[in-house]
Amino acid sequence: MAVSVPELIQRFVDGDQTAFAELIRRFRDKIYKIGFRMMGNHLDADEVVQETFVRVYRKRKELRDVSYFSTFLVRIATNYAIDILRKRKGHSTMDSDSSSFDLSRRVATPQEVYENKRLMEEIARALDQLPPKQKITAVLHDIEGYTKEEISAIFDCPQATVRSNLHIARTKLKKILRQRLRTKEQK
Amino acid sequence: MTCHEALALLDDFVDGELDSSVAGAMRDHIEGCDSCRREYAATTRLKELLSRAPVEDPGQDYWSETTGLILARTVDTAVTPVSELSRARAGTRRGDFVRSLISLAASIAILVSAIVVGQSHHRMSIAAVGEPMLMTQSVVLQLPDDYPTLSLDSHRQNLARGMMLLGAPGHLGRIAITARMAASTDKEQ
Repeated sequence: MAVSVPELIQRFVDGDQTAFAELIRRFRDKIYKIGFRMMGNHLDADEVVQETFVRVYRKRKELRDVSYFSTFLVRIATNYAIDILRKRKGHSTMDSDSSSFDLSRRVATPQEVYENKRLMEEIARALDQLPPKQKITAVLHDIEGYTKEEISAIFDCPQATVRSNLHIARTKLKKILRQRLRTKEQK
Repeated sequence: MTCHEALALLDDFVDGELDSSVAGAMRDHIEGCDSCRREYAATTRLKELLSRAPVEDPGQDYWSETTGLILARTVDTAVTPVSELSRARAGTRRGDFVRSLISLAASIAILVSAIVVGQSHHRMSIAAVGEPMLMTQSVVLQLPDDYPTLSLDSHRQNLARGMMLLGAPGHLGRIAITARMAASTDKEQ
């Protein structure tokens, strides 16, 4: 039977390195996806993953008071990603090789690969034009499926702020992706 | 419901977060309003498009390597809070200062001992024979009174010179004694 997350956290806080390795194994994929959506390339996503878990390790004493490990983890990851994006303001995070990296292992037809690659590039470019807070709100809500309540817990802000950020992000994305968003009848 | 109200509620409607009565009013409005219907369609399509944005698993090799890197980075990472770290650093600084003080005190003690020992040997030599004799008292006491080779003061001086130069008094003691020996020899001559 698999060890529960609270039990793993307790063992991790008590200095059990194998419990920490198990926590990494369970949550790394979630953090990688958020990192990739935020940063737009594999290398930066990798940095987000590594730095997030290193910071969790350093803050492990705080974990005794953390009710939701996942929220705690995502908060660290998104804050780190936002910091990087703010520092790089004006510089695209899109890596020209990132799409090929993502799709290289996908079993798909050449047409699918091409379409996915173009879609990925368009979405990444569109997201890249948003301020970090709006971008991460859209990523978490519309891509990763977090609720507004969960996002407000991650950012420790009112739900109204999340709603506002999401609305502005969607409005901007609709403008940027208007060609993609045309329905068949509009075409 | 007006277009302004409908657009304000559009996100929640698309996300399925409206009460059934408000959602019904929204549906009625959208059916009768081309502009709001287009906005609704665009928002729905955007959500659908974003949810399809692909991110592939980078592979087991990547995960093995990255997990190993994280563990390697955290093994040597200080978990100590910054406040405790400052205290530890302060403690180290205090320890260094105490060690420096002990080293300094030990150096001074050795220096003083060397001077005292040198001077006491010199005094003992004088006390043994009444005149500047350059020999330790213990050596003099151990020698038999009729020791044939020490019949002259010069013999005693030669023996003392050899013992002093090989013995313990140290440089300062030797310098002081050698100077005294030279003076004594001049006087004898």
